[in-house]
Amino acid sequence: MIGPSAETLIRMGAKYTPLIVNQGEWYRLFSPMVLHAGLIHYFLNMAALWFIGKAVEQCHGFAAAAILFIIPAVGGTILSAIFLPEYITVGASGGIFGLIGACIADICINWSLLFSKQVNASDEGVRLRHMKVSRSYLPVDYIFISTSSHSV
Amino acid sequence: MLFDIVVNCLVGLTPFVDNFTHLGGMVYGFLCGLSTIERLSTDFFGMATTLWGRVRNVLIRFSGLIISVVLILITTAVLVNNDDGKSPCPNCRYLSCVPFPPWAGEDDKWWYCDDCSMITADAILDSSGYYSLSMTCPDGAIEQIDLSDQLVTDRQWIQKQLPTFCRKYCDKVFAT
Repeated sequence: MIGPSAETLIRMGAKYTPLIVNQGEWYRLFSPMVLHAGLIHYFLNMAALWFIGKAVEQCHGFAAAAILFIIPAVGGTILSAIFLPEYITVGASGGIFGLIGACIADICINWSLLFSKQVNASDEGVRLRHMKVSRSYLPVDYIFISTSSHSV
Repeated sequence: MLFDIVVNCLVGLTPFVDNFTHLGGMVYGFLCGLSTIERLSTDFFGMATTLWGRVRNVLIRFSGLIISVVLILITTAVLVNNDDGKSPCPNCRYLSCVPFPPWAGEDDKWWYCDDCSMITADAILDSSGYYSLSMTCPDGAIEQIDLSDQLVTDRQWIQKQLPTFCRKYCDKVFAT
């Protein structure tokens, strides 16, 4: 993966349950979202974030994109800390999946617009095109994301 | 898109990919998305919005945020109480890693999810070959394996067979 060792990642703040729970290092729930296990991991994650994050931020704004990245990243790290306590995890993919989950929510709540013929003629069409953009990029993204969030 | 999600969940079942972060992130993203993404009015297209429809929309929007905050509080509480370093649900690990393929024999799967790949053992040597193995299981237990009926002399063969022995003889194949 062309990257640092597991010990280095732990010292940098990777998720490792015994340190979080017993040593009280709660910042380890937040720091994994900006850490990566190596160059390949980093570039694949950043490519995915570039496509999905761009679509979501253009569509829904900076504040929404930030919420949709940070809360899922922390929540996913907590779940991982509970159920896989023996693994060391880093990676931004929890947040990237949060953005994907938001795309699904977008499609669900605007379902009635998705197949409407009048949409493209109107102002609202701009948003829908973004939605389509984010959807059309997804197959590419999944190849990227599938290799992300490695436990070391 | 559903196809992509399914493919990605399957990839997540391999070892080294943490499916809990992925799926958890997606669920939280969906819940927060319900609240942060604004619903476009259908009035614009000439469809009437009923009172019930508006109440339902407000309910959905607030429930997304409330559920995700409550979920984070609950999972944090579980994490705080989980100070023995063990998962409260040991079999939940199969949500993140499943040995594959299921139809292959126990010895030639493509990947495994246990901690048997890095165990060690002491071989007790006799003049005619290795007679018995003293194997340290992933959880620290020590298993004695009798090899006297096979007359093994090849040290590398034993090294290669160690994970198989581990899966066969150890009670616990996980370190925690």
